[in-house]
Amino acid sequence: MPASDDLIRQLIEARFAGKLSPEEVETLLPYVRRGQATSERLAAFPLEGLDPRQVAYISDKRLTP
Amino acid sequence: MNELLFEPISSIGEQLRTRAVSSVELVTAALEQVAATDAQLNAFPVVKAEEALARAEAADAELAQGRWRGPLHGLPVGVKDNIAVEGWVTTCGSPILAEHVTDFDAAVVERLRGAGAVVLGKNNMHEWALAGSCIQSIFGSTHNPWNTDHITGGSSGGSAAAVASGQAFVSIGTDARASIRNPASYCGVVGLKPTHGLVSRFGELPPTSSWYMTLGPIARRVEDVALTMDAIAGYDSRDPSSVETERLEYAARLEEGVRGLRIAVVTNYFYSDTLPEVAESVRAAAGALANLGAEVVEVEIGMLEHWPLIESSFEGENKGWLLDLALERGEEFLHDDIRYRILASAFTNTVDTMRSTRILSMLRHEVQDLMRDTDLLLTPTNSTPAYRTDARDVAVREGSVDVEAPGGQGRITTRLTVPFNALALPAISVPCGFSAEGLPIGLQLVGRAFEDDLVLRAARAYEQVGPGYQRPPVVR
Repeated sequence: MPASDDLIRQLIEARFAGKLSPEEVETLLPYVRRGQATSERLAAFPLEGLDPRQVAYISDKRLTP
Repeated sequence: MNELLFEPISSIGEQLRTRAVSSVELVTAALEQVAATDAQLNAFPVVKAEEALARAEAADAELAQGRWRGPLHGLPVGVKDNIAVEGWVTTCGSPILAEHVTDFDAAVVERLRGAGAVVLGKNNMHEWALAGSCIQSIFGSTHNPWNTDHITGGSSGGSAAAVASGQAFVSIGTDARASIRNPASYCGVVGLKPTHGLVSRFGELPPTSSWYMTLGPIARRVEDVALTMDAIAGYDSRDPSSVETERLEYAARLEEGVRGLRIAVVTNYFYSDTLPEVAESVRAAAGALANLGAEVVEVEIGMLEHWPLIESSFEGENKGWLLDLALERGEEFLHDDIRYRILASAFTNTVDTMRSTRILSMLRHEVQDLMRDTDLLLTPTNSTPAYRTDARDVAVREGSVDVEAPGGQGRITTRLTVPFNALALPAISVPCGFSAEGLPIGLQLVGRAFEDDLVLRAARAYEQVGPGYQRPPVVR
């Protein structure tokens, strides 16, 4: 379930503990909301049961030129 | 305006070697070119004229003694303002670093000077290299030499505008998402994002551990880019991401053409926003490469449709160290979007990063499988030509994008290039046409890791039948 704007405001307040003005919190809110939406999509992505042959254990190609 | 400033590096380098022209003459001409054009462009906000002329005199003295360091010997060049030069201010485009004088040379500056090049000064860039317009910078906006009401792209916008307008033969940019290829495309020049690890990042600021950032050349011609790669690529133990690999000669096989190469036009993902005039130019370029003897096929890369999830795997890393600045010195950020993206990165969690990294590895497998028998991928560099500096809504294939909304500017300026940062593959942008408004359009060619020479070879073949570099109105 998507996080409500009130919950996101609380998250911002908890994380930055009064370092941002109310206006700054409101400006930040859509950015955090966007991140939360991505997080929900990531959680829904079917990674379980993934064929291990499709996972790169060494993911940085610079290590294996 | 001195016509020598627009010569190919191979030609002007030979004139320098044979002393038909001097480095002092060229550097003086470049300084005059900056003086004549930069009020319109703002591409070269830091110019070290006295130091450059002294180094040009030294370059001429070496030539007089028969010491020739190579094709860049005596040539005026630029570097983006996030690259350290000893004794010079390095601002990363931010007022926070207005007084930040670096006390060492970046590896790429050492290599340029080792090859005899004369670094004139610093090229303008987007604040913190974290956006793609070059509007917000401590030095003010950079303007596109094709139409100064339009953006240069970025973040290496000053580099692209400088070489397009003859202020320098080459400029070194950096690219974490698009920052070499995007402004090269918008300004009608050539920009290479090399395979990660080939060009040392020692002295690139901020010194992040972001594995998707590279340094690379922007120049007017593919051959100029290749000759610069010959000078700047190579292992450097000071850069933990540097790769010790067989040394390639980037310019040596440039003229071998594309006959027999298999080039895949990627038909999904890259066209959802792309304007018809851009798509048509790219289609024509694919046809031209087929006429040159390449086998051109069409493919889809299904995992790219999950790109927004993959991108989140490296969303926060290079912003993490800027978080304190975004909190404590927020009023000194010029571009609100950058500050708020940095602040939002504090909410990225480890589970999400691991999930997105696994999805990235699925994309990597798909592309690796595809490129077993495919030499190059072909895409547009950008969905649209450079937009107006004062634009809020930018038209795309269907509808428009608000470039001031979260994610808006990235959708326009980085979306088609950033997958190849995530994949660490070499990618180049070459001019492939012009919009109805007369603005450049770029073609992106992508190769296998460490096959930068093949990317350059194909780009060179196309350049000879495509529009190539053309002088923008500001220097006609």
